[in-house]
Amino acid sequence: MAYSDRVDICFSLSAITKFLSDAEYLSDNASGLCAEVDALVVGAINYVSDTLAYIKSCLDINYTDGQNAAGFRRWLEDAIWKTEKALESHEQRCNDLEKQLKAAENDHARIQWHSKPGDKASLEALEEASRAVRNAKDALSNAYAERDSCKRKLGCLKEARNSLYWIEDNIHKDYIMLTDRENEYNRLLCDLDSVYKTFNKQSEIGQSQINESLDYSKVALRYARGAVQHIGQMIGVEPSDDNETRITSIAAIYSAGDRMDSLNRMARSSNKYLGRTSAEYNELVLDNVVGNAAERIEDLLEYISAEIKANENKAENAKDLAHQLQQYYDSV
Amino acid sequence: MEKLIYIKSQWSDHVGSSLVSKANDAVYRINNAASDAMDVVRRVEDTKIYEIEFKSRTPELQELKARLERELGI
Repeated sequence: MAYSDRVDICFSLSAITKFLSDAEYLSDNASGLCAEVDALVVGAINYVSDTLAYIKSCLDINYTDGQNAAGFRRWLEDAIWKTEKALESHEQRCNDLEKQLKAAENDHARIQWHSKPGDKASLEALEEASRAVRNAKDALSNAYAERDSCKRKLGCLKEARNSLYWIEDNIHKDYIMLTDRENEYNRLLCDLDSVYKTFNKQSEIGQSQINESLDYSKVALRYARGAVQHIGQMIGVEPSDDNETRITSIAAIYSAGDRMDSLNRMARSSNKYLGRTSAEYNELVLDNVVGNAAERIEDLLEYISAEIKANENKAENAKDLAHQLQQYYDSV
Repeated sequence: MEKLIYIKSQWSDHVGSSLVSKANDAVYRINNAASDAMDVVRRVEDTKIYEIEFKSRTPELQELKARLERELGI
């Protein structure tokens, strides 16, 4: 695998890890949010449904109240009508009795005027007239009492009717209030149902999209981790799930890649002086990488680099260096 | 190693951006729908403030009848 591929995979691993982390975060948040909203909406729907059932029971009671009030009203109106008629009769009777009393008093006065002292017949007539006056007064007094009683009864009935008006007004106000609330709660239930359906649909689509991204990034991450592990084995670093170690691994891969690049460059450069072919050096580098000898290669590289810089125009020194390198290679 | 090459070819900035955009779109959808739902839930909460104070008026009618009976003896 080319170094550029390894670097790309490291970049990919980093990007995929970040994306997976974001996707997991989004997925958890989305799930949490969906569960929370779901519970709240379902709770609201239950509350509104329960309230509507309660309003319906209130409306049933309100209807019964209305029926009872109407029945009582019919009875009351009838009683008032009958009592008014009775009062009219009482008034008429009182008028009649007042006339009778007046007549009896006139008779008594006339008899008294014409009576003769000591006359037995006159005395009897006068007593008869007096009795008639007393009877008329008694009858009128009774009639007045009955009329007054009837008036009081009528007053009570009319007062009861006024109270009934007030109760019926409250029953009507209750009905208006209950039907208003019923309409309001029905609107709420309709809106809740609508938003709940929309929310469930959008939640399903959204979570499906997030899960798709999550699944893709999980697969990508698994491949990329495999790649890093492979590269890590090549340079002797074991990547793990631990973030710090992973970052160290990636850094080590970058570093190893840099070192290998430098080594290749230096090998090609020293090849001019050492007379070795680039193929031989590449083989040396490859063997060392495979043999998990990155550190030694780095030491050699530094040594070679220092020597080459110090003795750039001295082929003899380069030959000695090549000899040393050959010895080390043989030993590995 | 083929898998590595595969994932390297599959995972590009374009794919990543597309998935990020898709996930963001998903979150946007869910948030919008949740916001609409919560608005209605809030309306329900507001409505709770106005308690339904209802009582049957029949006891008042019965009391009125009883008073008439006491006063008129009917």
